[in-house]
Amino acid sequence: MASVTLKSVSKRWGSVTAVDDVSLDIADGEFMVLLGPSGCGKTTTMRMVAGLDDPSEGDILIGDRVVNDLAPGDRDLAMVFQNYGLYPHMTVAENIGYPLKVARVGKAERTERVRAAAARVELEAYLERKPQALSGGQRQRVALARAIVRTPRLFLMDEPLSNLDAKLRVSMRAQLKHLQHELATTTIYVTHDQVEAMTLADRVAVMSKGKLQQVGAPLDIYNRPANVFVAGFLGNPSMNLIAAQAEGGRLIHAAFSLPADTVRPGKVFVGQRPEDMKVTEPEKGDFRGEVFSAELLGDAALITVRLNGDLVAVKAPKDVRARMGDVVGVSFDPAMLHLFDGQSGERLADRNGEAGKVTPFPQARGERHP
Amino acid sequence: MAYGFMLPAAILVAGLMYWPMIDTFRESLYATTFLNPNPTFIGLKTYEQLFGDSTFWQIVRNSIIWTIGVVFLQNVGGFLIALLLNQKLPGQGILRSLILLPWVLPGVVAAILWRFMYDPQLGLINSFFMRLGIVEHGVGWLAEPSTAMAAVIFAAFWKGFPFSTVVFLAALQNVDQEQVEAAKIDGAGSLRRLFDVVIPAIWPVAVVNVLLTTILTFNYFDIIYVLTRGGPLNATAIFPTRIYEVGFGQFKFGEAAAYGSLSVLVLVLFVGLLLLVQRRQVKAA
Repeated sequence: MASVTLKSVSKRWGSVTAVDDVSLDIADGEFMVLLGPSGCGKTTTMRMVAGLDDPSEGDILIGDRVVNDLAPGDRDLAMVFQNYGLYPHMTVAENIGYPLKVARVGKAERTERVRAAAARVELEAYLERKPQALSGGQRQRVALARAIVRTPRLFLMDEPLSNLDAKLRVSMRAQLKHLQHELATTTIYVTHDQVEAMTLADRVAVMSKGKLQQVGAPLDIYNRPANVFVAGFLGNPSMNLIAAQAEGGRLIHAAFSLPADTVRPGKVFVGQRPEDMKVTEPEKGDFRGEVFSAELLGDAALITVRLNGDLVAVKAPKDVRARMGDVVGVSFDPAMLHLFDGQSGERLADRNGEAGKVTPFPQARGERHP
Repeated sequence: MAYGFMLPAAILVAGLMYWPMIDTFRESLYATTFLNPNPTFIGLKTYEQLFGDSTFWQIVRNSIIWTIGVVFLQNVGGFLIALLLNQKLPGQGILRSLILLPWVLPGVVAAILWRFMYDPQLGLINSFFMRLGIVEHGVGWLAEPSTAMAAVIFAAFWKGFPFSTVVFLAALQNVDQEQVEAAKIDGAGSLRRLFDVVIPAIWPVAVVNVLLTTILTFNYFDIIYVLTRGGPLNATAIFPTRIYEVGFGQFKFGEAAAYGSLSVLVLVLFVGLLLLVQRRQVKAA
């Protein structure tokens, strides 16, 4: 078991900066998910922890030892690759036992440990097969077994579930979570899938363009995104973000205005998650608009309403029927508004802790009828 | 109907490829020489004579030594150089093109070049060895029966290795990097990764490469002919040079045809053996 510390780590290739001054503390036994869109530097960050890439600047510590100059094999970590990285010419047992063989573990002990690792992921029946003769989920489990067989101090997982079909992914996710909990091994997990991040992580580190955006428990990040990027990236459907103008203690949009006495004048992004909004009768609600599209999700309906130039998505109960072109009312939950600076995109301090009444601003201008 | 459409192509292939082969074999059953241009049928008599002739067995032995030597050097050397070129080196693009040079040269040009290299008085190799103090005075590498075979093998290796290098380089670039990295994480050093991951991954390509170079080398003519003409004392004579010598030097067409037919037979046996070994290895793996 070990903690992991990144101290101002950067990675540059020529003029491209893949990872930009990332500092991160990962506690012993913690499940840390690096989340971000492709190209955000999350995989590079993990590869530097693994030792597959060298940081251009900064230090990486495992436990209290700087590992910058240690070869991957000497860092006492295991990694699960996106395409599993299995050795095709070896059997499942040979694959799982390879790290032990390299470490010159005796044959009897090796066989025993391979068997135990295989049992943990329910692969005992497949030990003599070659990887080609296995399904995707089984290959995934071989990769997991190979990772746990030598009981490393640290697990690294690079989008390990992305090649599985949707249903299998959900069940493997649960297995993974269970396994990590049982072994209590520090884990760094890279994904672009925010659902995986939310479900698996003790803490999530959101990255974008090589920079760390926010680190925190999944719910904290979900409830209090630090900036516009995090707000838009986490949550499905994603948060509505509308540009408004702060003026004289109010936020003014063509369709509504809000009291906001602490916000300095200027451009502000107003955000609210679709599940915090409601579709109402046209006369009720904080504003009204024309239905742009209505999608049934199964457990809910996603209704997108045109609000002047902007589109606002509302997650409504599945029995709400709205047809495209209908005019509906929409109401905010004033307690669940997120405000971000229009220039920097950073989260603005909550408005005095008080919710403030949403004031529809002249109704007539909020509509756009053809 | 479908067969009908294939017939013209089949006839063409049979006519152009198999007929000359069969005709060569037929020719070997006749006594045809420059002095006796009217073929007389003598059956397998030429073969009987060949099997009783020590020169023939020397040529079989030479051919096998030559083929194994060149194929071994070309593939092992070619693979090692491919490994080197597969590293991230400065100017690797230029190096990869330059390495092709020997292969692009016409065989005769390469052979003339090596005749200068091996020259007892002017050759670079002698001057090099003399400077190092390995030899006292110039050695006639191509003139000594004991060194001639090694000398031609080395020249052929130099001429042919770029082909293997290019093929191996392509294979190396297709090795799944994730497997290599997985092995790194598992603690395998570079030699271990080479033997446990890289070589198994390129093995099928290596087998094809060995087969191809075996056939090409066995039938190689120009390097040996220009360097030594099969001499001295038949020390470097292999099937192709012998066939040329017998057929167009001594005008014994029947004997040349017999050599030709037998060379096909030896090659088929040789390649068959290779395939057998390879199949065993696949089964064992």
